Amino acid sequence: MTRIGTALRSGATELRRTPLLLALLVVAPAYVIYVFTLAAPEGPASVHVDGAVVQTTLPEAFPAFTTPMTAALLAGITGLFLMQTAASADARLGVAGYRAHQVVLARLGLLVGVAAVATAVSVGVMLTAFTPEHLAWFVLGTGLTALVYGMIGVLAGVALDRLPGVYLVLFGSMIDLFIFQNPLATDPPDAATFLPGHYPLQVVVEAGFTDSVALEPLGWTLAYLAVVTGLATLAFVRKLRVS
Amino acid sequence: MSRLVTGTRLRLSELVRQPLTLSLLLVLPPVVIEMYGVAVESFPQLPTLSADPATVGRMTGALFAVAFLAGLVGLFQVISARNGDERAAIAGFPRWVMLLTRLVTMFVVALVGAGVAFAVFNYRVAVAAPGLAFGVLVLAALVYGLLGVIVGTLLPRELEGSIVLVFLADMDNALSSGLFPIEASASLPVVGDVGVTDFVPLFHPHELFTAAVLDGDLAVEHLVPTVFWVLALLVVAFVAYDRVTGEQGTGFLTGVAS
Amino acid sequence: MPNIEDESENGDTSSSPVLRASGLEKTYRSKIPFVGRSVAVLTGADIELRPGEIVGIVGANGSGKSTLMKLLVGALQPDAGSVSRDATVGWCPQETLLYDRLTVRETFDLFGEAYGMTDQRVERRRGELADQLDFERFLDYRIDHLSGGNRQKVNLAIALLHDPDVLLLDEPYTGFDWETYLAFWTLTESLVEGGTAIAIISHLISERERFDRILELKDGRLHEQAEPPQQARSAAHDGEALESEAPESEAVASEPPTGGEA
Repeated sequence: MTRIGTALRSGATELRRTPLLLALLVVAPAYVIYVFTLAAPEGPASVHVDGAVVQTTLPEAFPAFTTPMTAALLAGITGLFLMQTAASADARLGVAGYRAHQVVLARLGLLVGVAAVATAVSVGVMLTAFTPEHLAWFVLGTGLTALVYGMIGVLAGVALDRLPGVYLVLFGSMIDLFIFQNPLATDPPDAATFLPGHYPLQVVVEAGFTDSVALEPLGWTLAYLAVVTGLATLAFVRKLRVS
Repeated sequence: MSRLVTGTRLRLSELVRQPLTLSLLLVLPPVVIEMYGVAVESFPQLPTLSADPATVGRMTGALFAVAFLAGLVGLFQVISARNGDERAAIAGFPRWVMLLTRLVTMFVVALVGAGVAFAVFNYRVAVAAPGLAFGVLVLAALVYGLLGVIVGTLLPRELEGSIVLVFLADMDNALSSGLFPIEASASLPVVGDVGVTDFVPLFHPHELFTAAVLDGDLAVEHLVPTVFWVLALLVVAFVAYDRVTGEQGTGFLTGVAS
Repeated sequence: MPNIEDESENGDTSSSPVLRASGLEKTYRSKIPFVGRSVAVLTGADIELRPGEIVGIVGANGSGKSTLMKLLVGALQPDAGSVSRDATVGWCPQETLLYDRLTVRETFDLFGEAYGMTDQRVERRRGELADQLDFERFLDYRIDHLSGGNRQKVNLAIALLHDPDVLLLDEPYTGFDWETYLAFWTLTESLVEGGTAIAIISHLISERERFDRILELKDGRLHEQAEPPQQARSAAHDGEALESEAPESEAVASEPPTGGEA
């Protein structure tokens, strides 16, 4: 455990010494949610959640569904690069005695930290315009969305070069979270339930606009997260070879 | 001229030697277009939509798929070649020629990407003026390609540059796509008839594209701002590149930050 | 000090090898079928390192020296063949594989943790190495703020941190100033006297007497050089040229060179 802790602390130290990245972790979500909230017109909105329809307003719906998407995008891009930038040095750490799973856990721990910061900032900005019915569940749902996409970013970083990886993370998250899973959509295709954002966004929307949050989508979210985390871990362990 | 040709040819050779990247960049835009079409079909037929949701989705998808491809190519072209360009400049290659080779390379890749994407789009949507529509796609690619070059020049780090470009594109998509009922004269301060969407790079290309696809018209009132965007970004790109690479090659923002 | 007892001085070939590799094969293949080229770098390389010996590994650019070392250390897996290590290994790669934003001190802490060393031992060894390689004043500098030469010193020191029994060094003195270069050889000599086995990849094995053996990597295999390759001196040095030896593994020439060596 001390090895993982040491590697995690070192990773956090490196991150702390990248002030531009830290600034972007705050500014980017703030910019998106704030501007999108400002640009929302007045008017009613019908939010579709698990077969039911909840009436709200556009100025409330916009920040609500933009928040998880923003956190997810940030975590996804970071996940894509986080594993790549120190891959060679991580491989050397492995040669020096670290087990592969220890290095990977430390890196994934860092990603959890980044997802947490992205979630906190996104929700913080959102709260200036919209207060969800159940804030804690909303934060959890947003955080889980960010984590799922963070792991997908890791997978993209291992499987693809950076350019197509960034492309895939952006459009994948936008098409999934911003369009397919958008609560304003009336008739999403059945296949959309298999996309990564379906269940975590269901948690978010229920937490935002309904009286209660069902545990089933949370369960499926955790299962999905476990699977992508497992895949990301395996992929990263394989990548931990100096080329 | 020969330096420009040589430089561009070599940059393109670099790209071609990444067949996986190249093939994905040709495959991904058409996939994005189709996915946007399917996804937006699930939205209600809002009065703000210019056509049926599937067509609106494909139009939005086509524009952003092509534009963001060019943006990423511009970004990574500038960042990845920073050290090599520095050395080439010392060897005698004028910096403005080097930037031009990057821009031309970006443009060629965007052209190919736009061609492939448009072929798929044209197959799925009845386009009233195909030549005009393709031209607008190329213009949109130019806008974002230049944005990518500027971001890559000012923030020569792949992660940070990608975050900035991704969030720019994200907001751009949301505000200019027509998918969401954004009002141009929203709560932001306006000057005359200028609203928030006028500050969104792809708003005017989106209107141009819509007019070309649905009506077969050239919307001149949107062509002028689009051309203005291209020219303005071109000037900014050259000035930024010259200022930044001329000072011992350090990006001034990251130099301060680190 | 090295874990191995003081078994030998100046390369006792009778002691058992601490690192042994046989039949190593490695081919770099293109990720995409039918596109790009495959390069067979190693086609059956064998090597043994014994306590207290210094082995030089030479070869043309692209001959596979760094790949060989990565296989010996376990950073890469061979396509065929085996590597057995009966001792602790320290590896100094050709590139400085370190974390740019950590300070030198923090880098030692992290790798000390990797080697399973106590904090006290890390601190002691860090001080010793910083003194020996002269980078004490840079301990609180970030890695990316160091010059190339100082970065290489840290790169080497990390390999030495845990007093390994076997040292695998890939071009370890790139960028060193003259004093550090001499300090490096003083350090290696003392390590060898203590029984450490050292393999050094270098393009410049000009001081052959420092090595017990020199292995040349050629056509994917290692060949021991029986005689040092004689280099013709230019007329600018002492006005006389030496004859160059053609075969590398054959017996010495029948006549001494005209330079006067016995």
